[in-house]
Amino acid sequence: MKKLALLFVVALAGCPAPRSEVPTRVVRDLAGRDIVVPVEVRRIVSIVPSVTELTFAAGAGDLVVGVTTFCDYPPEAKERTKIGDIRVNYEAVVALKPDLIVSAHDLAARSNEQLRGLGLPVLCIDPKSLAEIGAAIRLLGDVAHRAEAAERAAKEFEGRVAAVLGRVQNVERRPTVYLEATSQPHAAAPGMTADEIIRLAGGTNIITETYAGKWVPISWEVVLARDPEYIVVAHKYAPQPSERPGWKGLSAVKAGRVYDWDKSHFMYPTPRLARGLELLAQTLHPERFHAADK
Amino acid sequence: MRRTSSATAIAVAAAALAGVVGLSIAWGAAGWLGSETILWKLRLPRALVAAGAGAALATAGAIFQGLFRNPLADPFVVGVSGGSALGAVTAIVLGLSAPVLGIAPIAVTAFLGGLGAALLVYRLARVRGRVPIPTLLLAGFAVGSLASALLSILLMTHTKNFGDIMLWLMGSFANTDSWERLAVMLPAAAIALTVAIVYARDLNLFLLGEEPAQQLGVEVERAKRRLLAAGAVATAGAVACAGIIGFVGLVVPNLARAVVGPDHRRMLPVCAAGGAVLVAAADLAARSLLRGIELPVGAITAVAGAPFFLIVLRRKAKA
Repeated sequence: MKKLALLFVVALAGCPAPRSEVPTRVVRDLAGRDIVVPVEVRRIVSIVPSVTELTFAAGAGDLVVGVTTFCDYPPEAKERTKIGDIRVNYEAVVALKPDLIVSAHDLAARSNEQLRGLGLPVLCIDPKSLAEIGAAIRLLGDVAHRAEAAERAAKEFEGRVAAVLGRVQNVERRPTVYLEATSQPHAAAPGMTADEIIRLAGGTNIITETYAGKWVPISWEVVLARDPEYIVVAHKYAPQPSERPGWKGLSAVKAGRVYDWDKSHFMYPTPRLARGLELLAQTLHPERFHAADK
Repeated sequence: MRRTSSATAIAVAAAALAGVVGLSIAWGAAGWLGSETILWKLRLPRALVAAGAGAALATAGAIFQGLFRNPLADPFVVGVSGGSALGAVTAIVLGLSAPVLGIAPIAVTAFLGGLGAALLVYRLARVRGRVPIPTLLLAGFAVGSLASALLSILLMTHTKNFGDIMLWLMGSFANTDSWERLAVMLPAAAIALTVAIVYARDLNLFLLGEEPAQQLGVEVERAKRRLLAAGAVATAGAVACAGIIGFVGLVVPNLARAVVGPDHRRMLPVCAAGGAVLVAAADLAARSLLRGIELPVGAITAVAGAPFFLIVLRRKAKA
């Protein structure tokens, strides 16, 4: 009986053994953490939508075998097997036999721990600024051996950003901007990429409050008191600005400077932020952009 | 413990209410005072909605504690909160946005959901024309549990709306800054308080038990029906305007009883005024603690209310 039990234990212990035979290497992520990843990455599962987008941007979309139900960009991502939404179905992940999980540290800390516990390497990609988007794409390209494609994508993004910066450099006036992600309202705060976009586009964010590094649940009063010249609404929730008590009197509303733009151009750290930057810069400083460029 | 006269208690509560509402109008994210729009379109209606919700929740709590002869009953015992939450979340999930009579759809569905749940509980508990209190409590518990189970399912299947739903469930006056909501809140609170005061003597007799009350001339079933309806309207109104704000309906009636005694004729006005002060003050704190940033008011009422309640309980126990 004892022998049988021992045999059983040995059999169990033997199961994960093949993993150790896979050659690995160490890469350093954006936050400076060293992560062990397989040298040959063939099957990637992404558990965060923005990281899915970055992986596809890096030219490694064909290696992605699993994504979340929220991963809707690029459109090809929607065709991959679903492994959950904000809650990861670990069984579904393991069933896909991935050799690398790509994730974000801030958004999925618990899932990352669970997956590491299952013996899967988890690479976290958390770009904190526009400058780190290029680095994120290059890192993913390096890990997936798609360095060339990744370099092209990163260069394209950085080129678009640089083009905008070139035009709005030294603008004399930086108009005030209010950007919100829900009607609660949650506003872009210092330290967020949306705040960086406002600044880089040659504007001034009226929100100076911060709230644990997240979108701030700001008081309507603050917006009324600071009277922004431009309002960006990156959501579809009611009530829209003109329907809120007292907002009709705001300069931006009176002048028709309320813009209903797709949240994916402002909210998530992906190459699509370049589009948000272009939209906002062209709106704040149309004189700096020739009609032909629009 | 020596009891305060109800006139003194009401005067103190009214003065405190005037003070809190005055302060709520004078101070805000934009600093002291501010533009006319900020004062009259944002701060004043918000302070009044908060006061109205507090009065309504406290009154509903007093009614249910009296009816159920249980100081631990709160406005949510008959399933109103579950029903309202389900109504509100349905509006969020369906993405309803067209206002009904100028009122946000989420407030309308929350109000109807709350009343629907209360009505369902009442019908379930009715046996041969009578509604025994234990059956009513059990039916309320069952309907409440069912509603929260359905709510969990909606939360799990509509993760995209997760943030909106959680924000709503935590309770906040941040987006109720409109006179339209006041048009729901004040009548709901006024109706409940009026009914409760009209039936205050009956509520006192209910404390003896239903049969003795009947023998002393209370039309038990009718009184029960009207009081339940009043409590449900008050609760559904408050939940529709500001989400779920816990603790007020449980604590304030107990505090009022500790201050002016258990006679509902004296206790109810003090209770309503106390609830108004507590919630208006909590909302002032919710928008002032981090200037410019809105915290959920329900968290404030619980954090501030619990220790206060314990202090009063201990003092009462010692006396």
